[in-house]
Amino acid sequence: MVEAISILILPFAACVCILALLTYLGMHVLEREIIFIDIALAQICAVGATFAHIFFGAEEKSLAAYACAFVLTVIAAVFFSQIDRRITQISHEAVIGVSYAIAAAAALFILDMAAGGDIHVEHMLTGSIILVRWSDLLLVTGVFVPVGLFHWIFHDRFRCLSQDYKACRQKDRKAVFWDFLFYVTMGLVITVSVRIAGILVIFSFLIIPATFSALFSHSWQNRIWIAWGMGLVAIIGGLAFAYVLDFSCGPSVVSILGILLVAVALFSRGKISLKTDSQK
Amino acid sequence: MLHTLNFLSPQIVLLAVVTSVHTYLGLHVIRRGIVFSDLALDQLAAFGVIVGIGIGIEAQTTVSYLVSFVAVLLGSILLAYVKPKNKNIPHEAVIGIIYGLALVASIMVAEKLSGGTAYVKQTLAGTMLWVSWPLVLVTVVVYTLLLLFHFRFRDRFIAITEGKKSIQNENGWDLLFFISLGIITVLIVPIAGVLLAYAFLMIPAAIATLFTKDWNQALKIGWGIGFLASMVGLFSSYFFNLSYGPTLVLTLGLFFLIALACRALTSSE
Repeated sequence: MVEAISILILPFAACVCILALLTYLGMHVLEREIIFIDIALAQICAVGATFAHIFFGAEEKSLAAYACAFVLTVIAAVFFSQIDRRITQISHEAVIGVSYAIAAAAALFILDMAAGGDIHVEHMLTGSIILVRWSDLLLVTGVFVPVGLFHWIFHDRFRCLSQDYKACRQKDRKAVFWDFLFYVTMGLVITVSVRIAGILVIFSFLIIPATFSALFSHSWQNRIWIAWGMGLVAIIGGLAFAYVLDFSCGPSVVSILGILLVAVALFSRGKISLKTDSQK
Repeated sequence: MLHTLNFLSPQIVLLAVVTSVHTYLGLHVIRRGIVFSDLALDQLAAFGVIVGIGIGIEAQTTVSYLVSFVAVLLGSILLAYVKPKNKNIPHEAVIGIIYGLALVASIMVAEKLSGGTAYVKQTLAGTMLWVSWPLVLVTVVVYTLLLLFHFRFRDRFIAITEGKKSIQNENGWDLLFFISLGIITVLIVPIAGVLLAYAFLMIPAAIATLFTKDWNQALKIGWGIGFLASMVGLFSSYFFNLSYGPTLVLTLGLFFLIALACRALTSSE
């Protein structure tokens, strides 16, 4: 028991950090309906880091690798926000879906040039939470705390943008700039966390708790608490599951997240709602 | 040179047939706006293959295809019926979660197999370079039948996709469309991998849709560009010794990005 705790304490801390911020951002993602943009961004970010690693010989968690990943992520975010206005013949979704597939293929292509590609592919998808060190945790908190504070201070602006972009843009000339800031912070968070937890785990932490909480409540405040609670249960359950049955941590936590969501959605069929909903 | 062509001829035949059917169905997929659903279904087909290996069924056998088909069928039912009324949960979230969970489930099953993680990469990148003639022949026969069927009833399928005029027994034809999509998914994902299968379906059709609304012209553009891109990909992967599946996706992707740039520059905001 003591041994289990000493092994799992750092992965647990890392998961909790990721949960705390990503759940909140995930609610914005659902509100904006940019679910697949997100998985595409995470994939592009992974391509950036892999690229720096293979071609420039940058160490995996070095500043150069992070910088390369971050720059590529922001470029992609700008691309996605522009393409909506320029291309009318095919739907936005088609561009996003194809971009995701291209980025994933690019990652496989680059990894294939290095030895041990199979393991890298799994690492890219689900990370290696079990190997988290104190220095990683320090970096994560170092980025997440300022970003979290920033979002907390300006939460009204960001929420207004997410809920109704057009109306907000008419009211406020700086809306475009704030929208850009949203994507930059999103890019930062993704860049830092993808290296630890992998694309799939990040994606799941963004989407699943936020979706789960939407089953119960419409108010943002209630939702964030519900989502955090659900995420915490899934992290503890997932890590214990991984430890006892010898699975990887990332996929285990994601499957518990998924199971909780599916079970509650089936059980409730969308009928649950808290009384505070009427107050909004 | 002859030796090379001999070695590559199964691929060339396969690529030509795959491009023709996928481009056509891709045009439907793009116009219907079920772009992400298809990605989820592809991943479910791959999940079927891995589960099959887990219970001792070799990949690319008939039983393995059946397991895949069951997975895809279950996925289609989920995608069709789970439409949350809650305004805070967009349908895209459901699709995204189904996709994510299918991929996670594939990874977890593969982890417990000997040589496990290699399967995850295989189902993503495909093993199309190693196709054998019998497999190519089966694919060609099934695809030709599908193509004939769709050509014969093209008016109805196109009418439903465009949603302009109502036709008799619409749900039945809709079901037939999704079954065709399911058949090609199950046939192609185990050999081409999730990414390449998705790229074949989406990219030529997307490029064509960028430039024309007419179905005939779109098909010609899609077939032409799709086949050209696959040949460029095939030969560069062969001569420069690059991984097959990802190279093909990247060449198709390159054509897509060029088309996108052309369109973005020529159209005003």
